[in-house]
Amino acid sequence: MRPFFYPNAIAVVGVSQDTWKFGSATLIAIQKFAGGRIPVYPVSPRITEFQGQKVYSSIAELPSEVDLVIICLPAKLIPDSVRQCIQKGIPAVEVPSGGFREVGTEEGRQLEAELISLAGKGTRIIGPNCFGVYSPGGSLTILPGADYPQKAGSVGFFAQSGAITEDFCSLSQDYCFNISQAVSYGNASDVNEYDMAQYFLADPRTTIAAAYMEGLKSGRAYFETIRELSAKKPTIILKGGLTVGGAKAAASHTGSLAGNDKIWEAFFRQTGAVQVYGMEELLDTVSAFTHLPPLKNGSVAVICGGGGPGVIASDACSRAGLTLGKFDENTLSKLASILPPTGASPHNPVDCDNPFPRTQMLNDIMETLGASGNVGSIIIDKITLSVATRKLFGYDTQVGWKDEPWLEEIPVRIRNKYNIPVVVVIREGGEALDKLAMETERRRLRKYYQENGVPVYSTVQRATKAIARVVSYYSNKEAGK
Amino acid sequence: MTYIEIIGKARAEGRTALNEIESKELMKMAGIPVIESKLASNKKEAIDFSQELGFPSVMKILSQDVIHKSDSGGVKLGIINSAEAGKAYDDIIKSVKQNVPGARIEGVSVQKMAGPGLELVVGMSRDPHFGPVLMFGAGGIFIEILKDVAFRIIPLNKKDAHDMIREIKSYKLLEGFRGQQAVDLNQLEELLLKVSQFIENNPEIKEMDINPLVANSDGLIAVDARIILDDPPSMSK
Repeated sequence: MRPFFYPNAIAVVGVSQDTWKFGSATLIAIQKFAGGRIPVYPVSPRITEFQGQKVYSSIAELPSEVDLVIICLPAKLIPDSVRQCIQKGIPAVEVPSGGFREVGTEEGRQLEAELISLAGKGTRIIGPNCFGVYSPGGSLTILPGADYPQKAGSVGFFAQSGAITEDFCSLSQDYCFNISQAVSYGNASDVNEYDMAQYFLADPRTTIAAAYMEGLKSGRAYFETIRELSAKKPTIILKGGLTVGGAKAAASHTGSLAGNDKIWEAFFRQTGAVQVYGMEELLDTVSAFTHLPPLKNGSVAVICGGGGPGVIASDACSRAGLTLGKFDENTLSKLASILPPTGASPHNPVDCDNPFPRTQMLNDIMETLGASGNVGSIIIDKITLSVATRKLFGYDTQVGWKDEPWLEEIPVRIRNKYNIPVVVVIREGGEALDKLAMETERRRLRKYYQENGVPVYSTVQRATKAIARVVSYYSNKEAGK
Repeated sequence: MTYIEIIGKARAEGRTALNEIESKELMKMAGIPVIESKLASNKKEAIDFSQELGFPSVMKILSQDVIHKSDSGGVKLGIINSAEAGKAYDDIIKSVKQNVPGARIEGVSVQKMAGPGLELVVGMSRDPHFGPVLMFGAGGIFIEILKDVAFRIIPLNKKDAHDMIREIKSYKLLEGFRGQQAVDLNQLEELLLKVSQFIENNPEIKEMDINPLVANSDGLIAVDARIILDDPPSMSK
C-alpha cells in the first residue's frame, strides 16, 4: 500500500492539451502540489509534449522508478491499461474514471468485474469512480487540491465518495487540523474499507481515524478491524444511507446496499467508534479529538455574557450528556467578589452580565475556575475576546477603556497553566453581509485559538456535542478495559 | 440423536426448517436450557408422555406445513390429567386436518407447561453486511408493538451481552417491577453468550428463534424454539 501514499515517482495516463480534461488537470494539480519533490510523468499515445514536458507514449515506456500510475481514461480502456501496469510490475494504480458498476448498465458491470478480476496480481488498485489520495507527506494530492495544506498531520480519512473527501480536505483548514492521508476509494474494486482501516490501524503517523461510509465490501472483517482501530485510536464514522431516502441515493451513487439502521447502531456500540450524522458533526468531532486531551470528565463550567445565553448553554450541555459542574463554597465566594454586585451570577453558568467583561475580570474568573478543580473543562460563550472586535463594536468609547491585547490570550494561558481544556464559541454573522472587518478578525481569532489547542465552534450546541463525544469515547474506552 | 444425525435427517427429507423438538435438542447440546419436549405419534404416546413429563402439560402440532400453530387449532395449554391429554391429542389432529388440508403431520410435541414468568425473546438472523446478528427483547406486546429489541453482531463478548440486556426499554421489568421476581441477569448474559457461540460453531444455521424464553422462579428456560438451515450446499452457490 505504501506507493499509494509515499510514491517514488508518479505517472498520469490520459493527458491531453485540453487542461480542463481530467487527466491534464490531475497532472497539473499534482505537479504544482509536489513542487518538484518527486517526478510526475505525463503519458499519452497522442501527444509527444505537454507544456514543455516530454510525454511518454505508453506505460511500458515509463522509467522504472514509477510506482504509482493514475489512469484517467474512459472506462472501456481501463482494464487494458491496468494489465500493462501489472506487466510492468507497477505496485499501485489509481482509477478515478467512472462508467462502471455505478452507472447500472451491463457494460459497466462487466468492466467492473474485469477490473476486479485483475486485482491480486501484484498490482493494487484504488477506484474506479474515485478521487484518489491526498497525502501531503508523500507530495500527493487529489483534484482540485493543488493548494491543500503541505503539512502532514495525524488525521487519517477514507471514503468511497470523492466529493466528501474533497470537502473533508478543504474544510480541515477551517478547523486547523492536518491530515496524514485522505483516500477516496470509490467502487472499491480492490482496495476497500477494510484495507483502509487496516492501513490506519498500522500507520504510526495517524492518531485519529475518520470515515464516510455507504456500502461495505467486507463487513465482517471491517467490523473486527474497526473494533481494534477504535480501541487504539479515536475513530469517527459518518454512515450515510441509513434513512429510506438516503438508502436510495446510496444505491445510485456507488451501487451500494446501505444497510439496517438497528444493526449499524449495534456496530457503533460494539466497536466503540464514534457515530456522527453529517459533515459538520464529523469535522466538529475530529477537531475536538485533535485539540482536546483524552477528556473523561463530563463536568463543564460555562462563562457567558448574559443570562439567556447561559440558559441555552446549560440546556445544550444537558442534551449533549454533559453536566454543569457544581462550584464549591470557596470558588463561589471568590467569583462573587470578582463579578459586579448586580446583573451577574457566580453560579454555573457564570454570567458576566454583558459580552464585554473587563480584561482583568475575565482573567480572574478563569483563574478561579482553573484553580478550583471543580470541572473538567470550560466553555466561553458570548464574550467578545479581542480588542479589535471590541473596537468594532465601539466599546473603546467607554470611560476607562484601555487597549489590553492580552485579553485574547486568557483562554490559552488558563488552558496551559491549569492543564484544563477550554473551548471557545465564536458566533458567526451579526452584521451586514458586505462588512468584512469583523469576519476577518473572527477568522484570525479562530486560527489563533485552534493553533493553540483551544477548539472553536460557532454555536454552543456544536461545542457541547463535540466535547460530549470526546468524553463518551474515552469513558467507554476506560469502562471497556 | 447427535447433531449430525438431526441435521442429516432434515437434509435427507429436503427440509431447511427443523421442528421444535429437533431445534430444542440442538440448543440443549449447546448448553441452552430448554423445556423437554417429546414427539407423540399417537394418542397413547401423548398420554404416556404427559404423565412422564408432568401435568399441567402443553401439546403442539409438529408439521412443516403449519406456520400458525395456534390459529389452526394446533396448540392446547393447561392439560391437567390423562383424560384431557387423550382428548387434546385428538382435538389437535382433527383441527389441523380440517384447517390445513393436506398438511404433513409428524405428530404432536408434548411438554410440561412452564410456570408463570416474564417472556423474553432471543433471535438470530443474517445481516447482508455483517453476517449473523443476535436480537434480544422482551416478548409479547413489547416486541410486537413497541419493537423494543437490541441487536449485536455475532460473536458477542461479555460486555456486548451485558449492554444489550440493559439497552432495551423493558429492562426495568427484568430488574423486578412491582414485586415481580427479578430475572437472573448473569444467567441471561451467559445464555446470550452461549447462543452466540452456538451460531459461531454452526455456520449452516440461517435463522434461529427462542420465543418465548421464559424467566420464572426456576430460572430461564426456552419454551419454544425454531431453527432454519441454509439451503443445502448443492442447491446454493
